Amino acid sequence: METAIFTYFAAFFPFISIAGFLIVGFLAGRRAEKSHYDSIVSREKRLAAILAFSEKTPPPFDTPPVSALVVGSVVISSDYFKNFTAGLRNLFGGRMRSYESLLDRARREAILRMKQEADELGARYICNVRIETSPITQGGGNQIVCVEAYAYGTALVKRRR
Amino acid sequence: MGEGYENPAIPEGINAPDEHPLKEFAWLSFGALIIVIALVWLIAGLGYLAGSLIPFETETRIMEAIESLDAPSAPLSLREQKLNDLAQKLIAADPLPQGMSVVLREIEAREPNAFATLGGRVYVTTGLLDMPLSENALAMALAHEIAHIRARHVISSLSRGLLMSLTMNALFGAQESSIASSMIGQAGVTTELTFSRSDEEEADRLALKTLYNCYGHIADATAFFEAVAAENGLAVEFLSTHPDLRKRVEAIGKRAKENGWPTQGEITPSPFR
Repeated sequence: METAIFTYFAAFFPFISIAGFLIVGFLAGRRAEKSHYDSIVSREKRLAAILAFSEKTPPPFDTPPVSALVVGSVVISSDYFKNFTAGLRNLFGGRMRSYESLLDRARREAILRMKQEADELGARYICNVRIETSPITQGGGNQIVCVEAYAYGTALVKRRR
Repeated sequence: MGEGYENPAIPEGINAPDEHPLKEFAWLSFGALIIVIALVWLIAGLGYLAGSLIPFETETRIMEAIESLDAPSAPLSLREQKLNDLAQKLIAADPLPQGMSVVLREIEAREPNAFATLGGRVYVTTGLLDMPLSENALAMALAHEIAHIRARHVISSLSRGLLMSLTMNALFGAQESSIASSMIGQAGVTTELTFSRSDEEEADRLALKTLYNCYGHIADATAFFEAVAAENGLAVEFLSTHPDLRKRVEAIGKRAKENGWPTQGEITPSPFR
């Protein structure tokens, strides 16, 4: 009886392990994503007072402001479930929904971290904001394993007289 | 300074999907599976048909070319002579199609096994000849391999395998080691195994007929299978090339009953004992 169970287990092990990874990846990834989004939304509310412009020219100040380069950078990894779905998507084409949310989170997080730096400097305006994303692949394959988002701009601090 | 500028909360769901990710996953997996299975059936069928169109003489020429690369083979040993005599006895009772011939050789191996390759070559292991089987039981094993040759299974499944791997590589080879593409490959392999099992079932069927034609009954036809099943444990049919051993034994019993072939009769002792 035990040998029967063992034989079936051994035969189906590859399927079982992949299913296991998928389940773990899905559950853990979904939890991480949800809590990250909650954090993003609450911080966006808190830092809403800091204005970010993609405009190169700063708005006019009474006195020339103190300026500083502020940077927000974040690296987020996708989970097994996302990678698997993206692999299937590669066959059929279309929106890679599994990666879209990844990039959305990464960009918003990068902007928030940049605003955080500006906030600590006492700045209320950041101009010339630029965002760059780049994938960090791990060796073999076209699989996007993690993505880095990098947001930078010039923070302007009102000079105290 | 900066009056009038607002920072409203950006609406969600535009740049990131609102849908549940499992929905996309289910759709894609289902679609991929259906396509793989349909493709496998289509390509396998074509490959199999194409193989059976290759003439037997071509098989023989291929094998002769391959064999000429080795040292010239020794003449048949005494045991191999007896093997070929038994094979000819079976063929006399159930003749092969025009132009086909078989030649049997013994292979040094402890596992009891027999297999047929191109050009009517059949190899039988020492382990099989050492088993305490009657001539009838051994004849069933030989008739099974001869049936593979008779039905052109070897060349057909080779052709099918070649076409399958060409197609799979052409379609999915561009994917570099994606987990998804390996899962798809696994689905293809598992479907291929069902074809191999149906070949085995057909060989069992033809072999039983040969046995009946030769001896007038099918006594001891299942002795080989029963001996092997007793030794090994369970195998998972889903993942193997042959049908489950017990199923084969049952199928033989059923076929005998359908055709009214007696399952008892005089058993000839093995010429190898």
